[in-house]
Amino acid sequence: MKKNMNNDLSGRRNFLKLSVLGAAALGMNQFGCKGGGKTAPEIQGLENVPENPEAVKTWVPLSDRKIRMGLVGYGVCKFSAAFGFQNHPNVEVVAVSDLFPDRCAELAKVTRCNKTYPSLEELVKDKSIEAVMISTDAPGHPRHCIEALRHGKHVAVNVPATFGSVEEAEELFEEVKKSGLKYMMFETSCFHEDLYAMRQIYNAGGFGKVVYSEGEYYHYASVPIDSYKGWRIGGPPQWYPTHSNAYYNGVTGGSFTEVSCLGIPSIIPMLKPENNVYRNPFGTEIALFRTSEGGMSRMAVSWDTPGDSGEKGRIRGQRGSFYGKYEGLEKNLPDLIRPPLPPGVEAGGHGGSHGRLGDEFIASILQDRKPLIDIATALNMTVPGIIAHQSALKNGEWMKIPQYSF
Amino acid sequence: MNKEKNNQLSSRRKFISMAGAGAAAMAMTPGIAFAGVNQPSLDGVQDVPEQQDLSKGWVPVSDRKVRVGLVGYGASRFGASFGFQNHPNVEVVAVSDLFPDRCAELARVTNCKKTYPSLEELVKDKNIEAVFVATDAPSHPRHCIEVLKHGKHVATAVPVTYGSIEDGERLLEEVKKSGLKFMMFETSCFREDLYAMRKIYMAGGFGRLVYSEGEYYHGAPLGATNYTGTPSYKDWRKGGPPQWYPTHSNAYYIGVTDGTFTEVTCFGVPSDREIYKPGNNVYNNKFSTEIALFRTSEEGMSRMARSGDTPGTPSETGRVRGTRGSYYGKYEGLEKNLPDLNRPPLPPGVPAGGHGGSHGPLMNEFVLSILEDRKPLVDIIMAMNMTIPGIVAHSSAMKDGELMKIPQYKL
Repeated sequence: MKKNMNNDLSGRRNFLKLSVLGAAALGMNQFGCKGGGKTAPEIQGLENVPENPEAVKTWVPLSDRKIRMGLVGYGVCKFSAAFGFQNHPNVEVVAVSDLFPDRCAELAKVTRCNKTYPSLEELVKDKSIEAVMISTDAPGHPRHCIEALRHGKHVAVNVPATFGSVEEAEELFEEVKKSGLKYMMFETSCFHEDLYAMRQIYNAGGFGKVVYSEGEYYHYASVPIDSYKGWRIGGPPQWYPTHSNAYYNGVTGGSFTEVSCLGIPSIIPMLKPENNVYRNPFGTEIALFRTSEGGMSRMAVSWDTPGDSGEKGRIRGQRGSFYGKYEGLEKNLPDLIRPPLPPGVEAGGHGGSHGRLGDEFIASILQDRKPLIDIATALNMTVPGIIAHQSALKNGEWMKIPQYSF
Repeated sequence: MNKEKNNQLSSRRKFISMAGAGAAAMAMTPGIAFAGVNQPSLDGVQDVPEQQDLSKGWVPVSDRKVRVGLVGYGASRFGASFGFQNHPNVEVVAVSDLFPDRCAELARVTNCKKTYPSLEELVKDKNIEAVFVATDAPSHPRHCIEVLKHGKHVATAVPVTYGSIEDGERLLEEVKKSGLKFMMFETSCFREDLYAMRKIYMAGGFGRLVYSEGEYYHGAPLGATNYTGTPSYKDWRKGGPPQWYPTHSNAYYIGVTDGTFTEVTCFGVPSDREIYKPGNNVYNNKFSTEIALFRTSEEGMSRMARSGDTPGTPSETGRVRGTRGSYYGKYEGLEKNLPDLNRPPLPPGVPAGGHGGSHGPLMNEFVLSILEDRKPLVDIIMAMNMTIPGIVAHSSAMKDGELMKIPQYKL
């Protein structure tokens, strides 16, 4: 078993132990801590919130310190307010920003924040800010993250880490390494109930080597979703690969080493090469990857096929498989329940992953440890899609994928 | 839309309307009694669908009885499991198995008096018009050729050829030369979902298929120790390349569209099971999982998966996505007027049978193709286009995923 490569599980496990130990050592009461005096709001009719009685797990504060955060970006997805930072007991939202004044004002309102900046570039100059959530346009992600890091701030960013540019990925990689600061990509699939369970089982050896895995992001859109400067219009499907790729990378901590990807010319107008800035002809791209364990993954992204939609995946290993549930040889499964949420933080969208992503990022700063989806994992999820698209443009030619470890 | 190629849907449709017309012309009623064959019990037959009255809407196209010989009653007991012995238009005149005890048992369960010690002997019986070949897979082409050379129609269990493109092409030539019916009993083609997909595809409800996927996962039962696999004649199943048995999965493109696979890149993962270690199988095969990515004749893509060494629920299933809709357990798409998606009715007394209720419909389709003198649904062309891509896929896997061209078959 090659579990020694880039295995966040051990880090994760240490963290869990650590947090329990920490709680004991600090003499904290697991149930009585107020965590910043915020009252828990009711969990409203959010989609995808799992049925699990999460109450069985209680969130334990790691510290009473508050991270001073800046939130940037309140576009179509309203993402910088969607991860619960404004409700986290260990966070103070000190400033927000959006290039559009109306969005900026709205973001300030919903996060109960008094300070606004007209741009990320202005916000990062604020010396009182320790960490920034970047929910800007995908092509801006690497540049914006580098800007935040250069100003000495930890950074969390929406997916993907880079949009189509391997060079920018590598610049960002160097900057994160140099900075010694936290970087986390908010890939939502990683905190889906099923993926989280797969990860625990994998790390406990319940799958053995993963022989075959598959992930998919199916999202039919015959007209473009609104986006800053139209960056979403006609983008290559595999440039947005993290929701699907997480069903291997996020389970095992492994990477993809080679890819053969096929695309099919789309009938949707914006997906004709003359109609988008990417000169992209494809609305569906199906990638077959070789994995670092010697296994295979089929990762699919499709924008132009109506019907069944979602961000899903499955895995098969030498010792068991996970198709909605575990079936395999391992009788003693580890705890599969996702970590608890801080009081007041909602599980949120994308299968109840939002609140947990926010909490994981904050915990990584408080505990000074790697976050679950660090820069290496983020790039190992994102860059293979870029290479996959290159392969699709060459009718499935096999191509090598750069490997990132940190 | 390139649907004019090998479009059996239209012939299928003609068949249905023809069958209706035929029944009216002969003034037949569905209540007619047939030869006193008792309906067998369904015990042990898995996957029987919930459908209540399988014979509802069935109309006989003829009162003639096709004289059939059944060969092979091995581990799967396939010689008897497709219901020939219960079909009103069939008389089972002889059966055969190389093992005398199996042969006797096959005769008993099919109420047949005559037995032969081998297929080679059985096909000499001039009284037999059609033979069902349920023998070991490596022998399928040779056995089918033997049957055809003796002037008999032939149906065979899958795959049409086991690992040999040459054997498959020899059979193809023989079928063409003979003018006789050939049908491969690919069970997925009469599964409820695939049959519905086919109808929707032919009605244009998917547009062009952009992506499809099929899978055949079948490993050791959970917790089984020292599992040696399904028993097989001369151990032909032991350590075989997964993609040499590709039809259950490939049907989820080929059987839906009548299209073909044109190119493949396929990966294998060396198995940790003993039988796949070097020197432990006659195929020199180290893979028990092979994942193939195919380019299709409509420029789409298919992922077809085989795995025998990954524990979990066995399955033979698939899904399709097209420019106008998709089918993941149900149709979702832009087409509002869907055609009738029900599978054809079965004659009274014929059980739907195993593999998702596909056995009875496969046998019935073969018998009808003889009675109506038309192409059966899974003819030699479709059989080859389902089977050969798996052989090429395994070659690709042996070359670490090299992109390889696939021979194309048409009549």
